[in-house]
Amino acid sequence: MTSVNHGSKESAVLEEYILKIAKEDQSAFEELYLKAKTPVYGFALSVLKNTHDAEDVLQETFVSIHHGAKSYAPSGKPMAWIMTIAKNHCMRKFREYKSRSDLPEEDWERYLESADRVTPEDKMVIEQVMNGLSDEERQIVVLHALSGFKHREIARMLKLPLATVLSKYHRALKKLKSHL
Amino acid sequence: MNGKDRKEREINEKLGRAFEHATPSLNPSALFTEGEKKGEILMMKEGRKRKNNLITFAASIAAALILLVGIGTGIYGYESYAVASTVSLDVNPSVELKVNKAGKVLDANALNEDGQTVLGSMEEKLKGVHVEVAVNALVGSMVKNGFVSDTANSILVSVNSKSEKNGAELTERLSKELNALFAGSNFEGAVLTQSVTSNSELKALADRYGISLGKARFIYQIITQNTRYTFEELVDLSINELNLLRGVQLDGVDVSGTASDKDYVGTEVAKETALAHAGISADQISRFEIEMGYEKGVMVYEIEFNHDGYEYEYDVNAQTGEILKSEKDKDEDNENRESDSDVQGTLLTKEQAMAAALAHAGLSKQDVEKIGGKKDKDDGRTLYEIEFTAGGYKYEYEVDAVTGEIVKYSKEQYDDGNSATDKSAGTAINKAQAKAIALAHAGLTGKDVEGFECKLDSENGVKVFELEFHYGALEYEYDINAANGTIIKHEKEGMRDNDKADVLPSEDRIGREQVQNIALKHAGLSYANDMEIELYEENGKAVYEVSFRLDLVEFEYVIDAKSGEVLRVEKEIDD
Repeated sequence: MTSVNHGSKESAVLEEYILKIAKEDQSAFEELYLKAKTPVYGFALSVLKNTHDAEDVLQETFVSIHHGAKSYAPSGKPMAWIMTIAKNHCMRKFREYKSRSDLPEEDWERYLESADRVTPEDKMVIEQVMNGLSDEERQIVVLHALSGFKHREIARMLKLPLATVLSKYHRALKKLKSHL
Repeated sequence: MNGKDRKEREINEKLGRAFEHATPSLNPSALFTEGEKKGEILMMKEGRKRKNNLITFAASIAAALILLVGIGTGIYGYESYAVASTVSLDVNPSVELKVNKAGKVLDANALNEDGQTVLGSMEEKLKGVHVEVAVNALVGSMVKNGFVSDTANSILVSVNSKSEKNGAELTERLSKELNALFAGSNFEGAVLTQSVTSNSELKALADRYGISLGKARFIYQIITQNTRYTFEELVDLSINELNLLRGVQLDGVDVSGTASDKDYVGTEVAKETALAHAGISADQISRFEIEMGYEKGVMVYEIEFNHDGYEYEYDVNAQTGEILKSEKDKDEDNENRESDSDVQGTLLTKEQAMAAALAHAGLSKQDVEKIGGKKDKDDGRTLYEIEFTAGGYKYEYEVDAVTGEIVKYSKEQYDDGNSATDKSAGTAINKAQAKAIALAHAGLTGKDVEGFECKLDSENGVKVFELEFHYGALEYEYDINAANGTIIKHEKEGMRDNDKADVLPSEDRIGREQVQNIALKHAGLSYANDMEIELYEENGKAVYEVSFRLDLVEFEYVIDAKSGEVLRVEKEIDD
């Protein structure tokens, strides 16, 4: 279970990593990577819907974290900072493809079969999330489950009204409950 | 009551595990050094790329943002639904944005078909977005759809603001935004900005031709400066064409950049063409003037020059280089022109000439739908040619500019197909039909709406049904041409920006205060902080979403807006 619990203790740890990265501390970078890679990748995947681009975003996000660490102003919300960087890289992907409809669609099963750590259950979960939910539902569920974002934070990040986030979250959860 | 039930927690854990397993293994230390190494190069590369394609680049950020976000950000607070400014973007496509005090878009409307193309599926998504972002996205879409390009580079931005100060500020911000956008693009843009104050005359013109108030003002400025054109003649021209035509600096219009004439043969070619036709070489002519004009629906280069006691006048089709008009006249001008300026003071003004013509026709200014005039010279006599339409007739007058004498006049039936000028035919449709048209347009039935009002009015000689009605929390207004049933104007004002707002009318739902009390009572509290209450629709039901916090606990309630029943509760500890 990697979900970064968004508690203040956890936040303080992440924040410290970022401050250390600003001082070129490589081990702090590696620690941060382990904590944040899944939220970043999961979000990128939920937005871009293909593993190739999501992997690019994962890579680019951490390269940016390294650069940007110096400009990070401690705010108690390191995860929001990281996810904003990830979101910006997703935007860049969009720009490259000009519009979302040009994004390559991907054959999920093939990828998941080749990923050796993915169990049959994992595969089912990811398929449900990727294929069974709308884009917004997926992004909300993933941000909540992987980044530990509160609905209010998700609303801010996705620029949706809180009410919309809540109702979409519950709708998505209902769908997932019936299938998982 | 407990926000996270066991099943929910389980699902979250499953998701966490599955995605963790699916996350590819990268080597973090390699990433670290790559960041170190490539950092600057990456940044520089991005910087360059950005410069070349800034328009598409920046615009697609906004477009992508909107795509990702799906729905614009919410607009909270009571005052924020009030329209503080209307911003229109005209190129050839025209789009109008209603903006609140905070600079967020409340509504986006296409004013013509091209505008619809530009707006595309963004219409809903622009709501709640910052106006600069929206303008950025719209210009991006205009570029993408080929409306703004190297050959048509002019954009008119008009701001009509309730407060003059805010208007000026917003105008400047948008001007900066667009200039920055063009500064890095691979072609030069021409940005025209103006603050517009709505007056009944401009509004009538805008409504009549279905154009923005901004474009109406711009054309109006051109015809006041250059009286040979009528409003109607210019109304279908693009902003780039108008920008080329306008000649002089227009009152209240800020200009940066120059209009592109790349679609045309250019002044040099036009000059050569005319000279070749006259059989004269460039060094033989004594005076040379060239400017762009619009004649009989064609953009032309208007050329004048003198040679050997003759004055030459040419109109050259700007697009094809074809000579449309050539005149050669004895040049008795030199003296005339001087005497002209001598008597300038004693000439009638255009307004006086118009008044003389109107007096002759037995009409007053109010009777006239549109009027235009120009000064011309005929056999050495300076005349005003005045044209106007009224009561279904078109009048043409020639008024002596010195004496005010009516030299010539004509009056003929005015046929403009759908115009409702004939008084008896002014109301080809009745109220019921007008209502049906409006309802059909709104996608509603008579049973749905309340507070229906309809009155017949005359706007600029056109009979118009003005309709108003409510549906739930939405207010609709329609102006329908009584002669042919076309919708001249429609407005829909809602209380919510995103959801369809088919929300219950206020008398059918409980009030906000009551909702707040229900939630607090349910939570066992007498007060709380950060209270937010929102009305929205969920599964066809109007519900209130109430959120508040006390110390570290955040509460989120969803309450049926009709019955007051608590449908869902969420409680989170903000640790």
